[in-house]
Amino acid sequence: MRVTRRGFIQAVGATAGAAALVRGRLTKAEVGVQDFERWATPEETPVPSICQQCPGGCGLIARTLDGQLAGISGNPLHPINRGALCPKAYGALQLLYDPDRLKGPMVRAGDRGRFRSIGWDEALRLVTERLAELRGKGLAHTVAVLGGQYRGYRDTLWRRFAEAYGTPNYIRARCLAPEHPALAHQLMQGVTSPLGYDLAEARCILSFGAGLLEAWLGPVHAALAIAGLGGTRERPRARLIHIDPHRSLTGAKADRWVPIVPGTDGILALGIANALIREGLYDREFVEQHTFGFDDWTDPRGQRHEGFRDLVLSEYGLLTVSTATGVPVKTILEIARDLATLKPAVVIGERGPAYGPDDLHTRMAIHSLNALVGSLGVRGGVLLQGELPLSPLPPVQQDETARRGRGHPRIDGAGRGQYFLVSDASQALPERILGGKPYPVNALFLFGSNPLASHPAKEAFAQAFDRIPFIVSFSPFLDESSSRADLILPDHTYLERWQDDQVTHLAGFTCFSLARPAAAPLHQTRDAADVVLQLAKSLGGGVARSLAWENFEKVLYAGARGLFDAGRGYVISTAPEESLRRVLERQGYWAPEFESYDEFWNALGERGAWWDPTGLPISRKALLRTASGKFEFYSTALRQRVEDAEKREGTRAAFVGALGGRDRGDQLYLPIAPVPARAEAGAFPLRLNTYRLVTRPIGGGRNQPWLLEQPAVHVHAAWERWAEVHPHTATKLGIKDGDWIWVESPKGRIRLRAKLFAGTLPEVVNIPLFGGGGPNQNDLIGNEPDAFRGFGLLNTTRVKVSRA
Amino acid sequence: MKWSAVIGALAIVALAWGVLGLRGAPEVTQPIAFPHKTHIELNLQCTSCHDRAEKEAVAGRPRTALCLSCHGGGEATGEIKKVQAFEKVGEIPWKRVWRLPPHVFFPHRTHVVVAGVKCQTCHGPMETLDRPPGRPLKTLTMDDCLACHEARARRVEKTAERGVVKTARALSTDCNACHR
Repeated sequence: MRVTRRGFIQAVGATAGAAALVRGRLTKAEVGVQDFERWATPEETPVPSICQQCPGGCGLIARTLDGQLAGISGNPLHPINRGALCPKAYGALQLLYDPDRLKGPMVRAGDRGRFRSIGWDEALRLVTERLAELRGKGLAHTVAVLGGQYRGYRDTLWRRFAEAYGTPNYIRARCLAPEHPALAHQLMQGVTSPLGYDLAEARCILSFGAGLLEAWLGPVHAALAIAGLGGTRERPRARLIHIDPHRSLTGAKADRWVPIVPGTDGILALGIANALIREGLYDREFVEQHTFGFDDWTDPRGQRHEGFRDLVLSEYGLLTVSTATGVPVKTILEIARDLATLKPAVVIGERGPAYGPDDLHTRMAIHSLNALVGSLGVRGGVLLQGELPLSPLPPVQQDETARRGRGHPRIDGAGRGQYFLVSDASQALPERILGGKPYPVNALFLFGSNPLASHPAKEAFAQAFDRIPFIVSFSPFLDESSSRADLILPDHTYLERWQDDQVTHLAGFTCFSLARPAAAPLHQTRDAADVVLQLAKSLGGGVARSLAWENFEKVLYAGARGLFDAGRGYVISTAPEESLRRVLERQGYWAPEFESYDEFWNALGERGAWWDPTGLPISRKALLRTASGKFEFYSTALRQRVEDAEKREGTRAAFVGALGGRDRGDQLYLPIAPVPARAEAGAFPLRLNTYRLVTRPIGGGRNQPWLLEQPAVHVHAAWERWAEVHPHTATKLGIKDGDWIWVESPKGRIRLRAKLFAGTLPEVVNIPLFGGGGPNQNDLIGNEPDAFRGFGLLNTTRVKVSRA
Repeated sequence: MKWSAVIGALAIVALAWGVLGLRGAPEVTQPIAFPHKTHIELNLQCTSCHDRAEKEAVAGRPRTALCLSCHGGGEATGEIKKVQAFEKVGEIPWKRVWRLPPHVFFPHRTHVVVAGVKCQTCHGPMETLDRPPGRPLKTLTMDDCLACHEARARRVEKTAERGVVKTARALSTDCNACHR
């Protein structure tokens, strides 16, 4: 090989260039590997949390990467959902990362001018000054707090604040209060905690419109129970019968869906009771030994009273019931036979919206069926909901100002007159604020509520807001109500804060969930509970002493100590440990797992919940806590309340009006839902029925696109809003699937896409309560008096439909 | 002679009418003048009252309790009053109108629930009656049964020939199917 000078120089140059090139590439690759390693192996931490999208209270595992929230999954240890979740749970990420969240406190410039940012110290000073000023002038009672759908210690804090500050006006605006027993259950059984329905063990479930699988108290918990109804070698197949004007998800999954004219559920229940009694199918032993008012009876004064049996047999003939409800006689008979022969059976008469103007008597009528088939206090039937052994907090220290303030009547009129049976009457609030009766409201705090969008009285609330000089909102978002506030103190979203949950719809166990913050706050927001404590501290005196905790975590720490001290139950654990504990407990042994409360507290935070699956009494006596010690078809408690209210107020008319419109004598205290007279169709011939989709969270979910995107498979729709019209009705009106239509009520009209849907009655128009912008169902719903919840009747509005 | 022949002929006819059953079954009078038409017009189904037809071989007659589940309350008049009077007495003594020969086994459940045969196919247009029928509206013969069974069997065969998944059960025309 001959080497020339030129060749040598070229070779050296090429080698040097190649070396430089290779070196450069290697350097880049090294950087890439480092990046990749950092990206692929961030510090991943699972943090137990609690879903707050509905009253279900499912356990979550929040997946965090280097402290940032990246995913949601179900907590497999949590007894409520056992790792399963519904679509709503995943929307939490979009709540947290909503780009339109408020970044910090906002205040109005001038008299309700534009919002401007403000520091926390200044914002809290403004509130404290206003509260102190009102208190100083003896106007503490003119401060109102309007709360929405939440529970647990946040409710406790607000209640204590109202008591210590001196206002009777802590008002909850919601159509479902899961932590309270239904009024019908209080009156017929004397219970003070909600009842639990043992769905998993029942052989026949009869649901009167309770959306078990999509919108009731906990769709995941109910779905797990209903999934097991199919039967096994050890357990025969069970049957689910769902009565609902709309063929909902529950209706579609049920063994039998029974369409019914809205608001006539109580009449149907009495028809079923008639069939049970006539055919001798009811539980005679239970009725004879444990009920009062079934047969005619004579009181100590010698006055004779008609019993439930005779009234039902004489007034609720099946033809009458069938005509009123639209349910065929044969179906009524078959339901009664199923209910009596498939035992244990459970009848659910609790739903979110009211059953109509006769809501109390409807619920009483439905609950009577549980007594007739002897389902009270038995496995697979209706059980008592256990109370959590939480430590009682120290009593509120009211000073003279607070006592004077609390002595004023509530501004919403709850507990008096027409609303004598309710604890909150938000529907009456705007009218009373506008009228200044019994006194004007000088400050309003909005927590977890958005009445300007989600309340049937939203227009009246909007007017009332103009009369209130100082409105403070704690919403993390600039929703309709917050945008009318004077000051916004944005709360964390629920994954950024300490929280607890005390779910109350469970059968067979009690459960307390605890969650640490799963992610650091993204913005300059603060936990509203901490803000309340801060305000109390700044106000000083009795208010500060009543809320003397440093922060919300300390409140939870103080309350949960009772669970450790109770000597029962345990922090949730893996399945083998759980089984072992159950075996031991069944044999009467309970061994403490933790030596100190701090150890218990840490485990509670790391695993997510405490529960007690064996400590609940399952007996009939535990359920029957009335004056007679029996299930009362004739409610002596209701009679007592009416008599007390009459003595207090000197008139009876308002109560009688609230209980059905006319004095029906003894029938007021019996579960008798009157059969309405046949009404002419008039200008609004159709009935509006609103329902909740499984993807609709508390607050509407307008900022959770994943949920808006979830299709409603029964009508093949997503994103947009729609109205469901029966094909027969649509044909008569010349409406085709997908047409734009006007749905009009005496209150207003909205434009929606028509979806033809045969899963309803021809005279019913169904509208889903849907999140997102656009037309609002509350533009249609009249704020009709709701004497049993004080929220406003949702499904009694009549409408008409026409092509747009 | 002539008269005796006429009398003789008449006697033979009378004998045949009475003894051989040519006059048919005697007319039945029910304790309640039940109007099927009125009840069907109220959207009741046949099996609302004759509920055993869906569960058992024998359709039976409705129990008094079932009548009273609709007619138990309020001031009643006429026939309804009579029904209410039976509440304390016991079952209404309905009289049987339809009766197949004792050697025929006719399971109602199989025909009503499994095969979906309309009640009127065998019982005639009961929904048009304002009063209970004194006699069966339709007399079933073995030809009627066989015609139905054979027609159904042919349909099933044709379906099978077309390769469609068989949905209907092949019907037996074997003697033992009914004469057992």
